[in-house]
Amino acid sequence: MSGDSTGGLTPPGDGPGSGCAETDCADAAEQLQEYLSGELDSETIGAIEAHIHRCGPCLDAYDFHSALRKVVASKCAESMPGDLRSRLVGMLDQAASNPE
Amino acid sequence: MDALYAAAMRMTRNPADAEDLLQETFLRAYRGFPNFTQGTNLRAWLYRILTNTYINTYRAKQRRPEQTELDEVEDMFLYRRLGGLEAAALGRSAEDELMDMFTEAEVKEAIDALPDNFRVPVLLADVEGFSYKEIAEMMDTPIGTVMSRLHRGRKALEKSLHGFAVARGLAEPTAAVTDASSEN
Repeated sequence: MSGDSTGGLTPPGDGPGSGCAETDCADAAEQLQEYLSGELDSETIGAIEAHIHRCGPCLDAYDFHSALRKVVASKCAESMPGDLRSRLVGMLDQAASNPE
Repeated sequence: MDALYAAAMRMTRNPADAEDLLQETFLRAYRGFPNFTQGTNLRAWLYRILTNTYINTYRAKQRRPEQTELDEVEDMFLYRRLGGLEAAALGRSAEDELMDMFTEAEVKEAIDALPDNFRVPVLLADVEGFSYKEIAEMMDTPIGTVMSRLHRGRKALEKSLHGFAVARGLAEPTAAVTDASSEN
């Protein structure tokens, strides 16, 4: 893995996207998580989007990680048990009627 | 309320502690509401109280230190092993594939398996969608620390998920797909 100068975006069976500079792929890999988290400035976002739309392997990697985030978040959902909801509301009612 | 309950469940990892945490959070929020600045983010404010309460309660309760370090995991651990799966199943998106690949119980177990100091930022960032800056404030931790914990926590989460995929025969045990394909 350590010899992988593209930063690891190349998926199974594919070479780097045709016409891509390896540094662009490495930058895209480096910034993937921060891109998905909305942590990048608009200039960097523009550069990444321009790159991934002409680089199939990088687009695949972005698509995969974006999908993974959505799946993890959606499968962590919980419904609050109804009796707990009642207890919490009751507790706040009591706090409201007994100001300290 | 459901989202706050889900966050409390993932933090405490059991319903009884989640209920205690929510009760304490609601009481603190109720008493602290006069100090809430109108026009700022109410949701972030509530999660800050939740996170603070959890961290303080957890630290107070803690008898012996939980595991706080993670093994090194390579970047894009899961993608290297499952990447290109949408090509294998024609016409299906990566999201559909991953949605079918992991159960709710598996995803929750993978998150629950993360040590505390990694689980909380991963939860707040990738499940709840808070910014790194908001998380740093919620955890009273420098933003650089939040980022490095996120980086390592996400990879550990991917490794756990991979373990579930392997257990169900949906992925190869150890080698990355890139390694396997180079042998052909």
